Amino acid sequence: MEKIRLGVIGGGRISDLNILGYLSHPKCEVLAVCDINEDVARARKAEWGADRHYLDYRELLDDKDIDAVEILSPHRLHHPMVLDAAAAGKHVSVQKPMSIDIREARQMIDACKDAGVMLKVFENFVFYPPYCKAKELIEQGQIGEPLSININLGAGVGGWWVPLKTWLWRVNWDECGGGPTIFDDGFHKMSIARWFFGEIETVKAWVDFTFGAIDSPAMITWRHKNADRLGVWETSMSPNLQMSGKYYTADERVELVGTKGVIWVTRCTAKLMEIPPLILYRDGCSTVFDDMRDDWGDSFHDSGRDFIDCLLEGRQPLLSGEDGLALMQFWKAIYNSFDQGLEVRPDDMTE
Amino acid sequence: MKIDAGKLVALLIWKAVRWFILNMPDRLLASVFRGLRRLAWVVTGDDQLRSVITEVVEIFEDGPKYTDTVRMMLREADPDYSSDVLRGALKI
Repeated sequence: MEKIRLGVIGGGRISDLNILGYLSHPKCEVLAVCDINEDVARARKAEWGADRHYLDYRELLDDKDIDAVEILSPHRLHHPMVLDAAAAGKHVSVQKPMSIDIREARQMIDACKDAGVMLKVFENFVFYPPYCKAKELIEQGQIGEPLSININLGAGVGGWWVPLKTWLWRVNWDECGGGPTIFDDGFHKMSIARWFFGEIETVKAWVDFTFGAIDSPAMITWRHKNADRLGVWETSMSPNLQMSGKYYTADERVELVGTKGVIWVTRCTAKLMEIPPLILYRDGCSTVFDDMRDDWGDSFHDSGRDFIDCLLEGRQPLLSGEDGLALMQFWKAIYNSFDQGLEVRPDDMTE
Repeated sequence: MKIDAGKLVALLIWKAVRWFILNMPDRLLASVFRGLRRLAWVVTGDDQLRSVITEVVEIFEDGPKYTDTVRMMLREADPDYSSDVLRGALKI
């Protein structure tokens, strides 16, 4: 393939960001848009310079001119859409979370494998430039042997407008597949924990609920399969905490501790404070990294470009379907741990 | 006894809104919000406010698919926390 002709299924809020890498890639053409709302489909077609629009995703999948699809639908539709895309011979990028349960995730992987098409789980955090730099520093040995990752997620007020109906399906566990904090948004945090320090051995979680549906505040702890490495993830909600940010008002601070140093990544989605995005401490000195792209949108841009590059170069995407499945198991372990009050192994999660 | 006026107002508004939504049918609530939308537009001329209220109208017009979740959240909501959220939104 010399150029990838892409169809986008779903023109909602997040497509503003998922589209960025595709529009900028010289070997990608956004050919078609599909949305059940015709006004949205037409508006996105015009905005992205696409050639055609559809109201039924199956018609887009029948379009012989399309090589690959980006699926940006509600989570309960990921499974049927990926299966149909694979059957139509289209390479697939599906927005995180991959599916609503592990059984669906396995079927999606198998369907794409059997059809000989690529499956990418679109996860942007692992492309966020400060996180990428932090990983580079860790791999260089800058903090010595990694010991722990501490993730703090706080929710405040401000940011962009998300339609109220979108919020409502995301707090409906049947529609979403889990809670809005630990499953939906948490897929990002689970992704970076695994990406930084490897597979998860065991999990212990405590979760409280706000408004009966929002799974926060919470405290989740885990041990990586490399037994020297531990993880902690704390979530909280601050209804009167004003936050600067163009997108969701999520205050994410990640601390990566090693035997001889510490790395702090001070933001991702929003920007709580005007401080450098990345700080390294070792040998009694702090080094500040303030000369990189650090807008949340940059991570989407780079993830989209990665999908196109992987298709052109014939290599595995980040995240692969198998990565997505491991994260679904991580989520299920968290859920079962707080539900049953037990320590749970992700490898034991099958549903 | 010191009274936090802003918190009291927010709590009263919260209790009133909660009672209405939990006890009135979807179609009536859709009508009420349509009226509020018209009033808000006449008084403020604010397009953004009108868009937000339109979204609320659509939720009640669409019925249980969305309103079941709304009612569940209102039943489970902690009054103190909820009035804090409202207070922040109203800036009082």
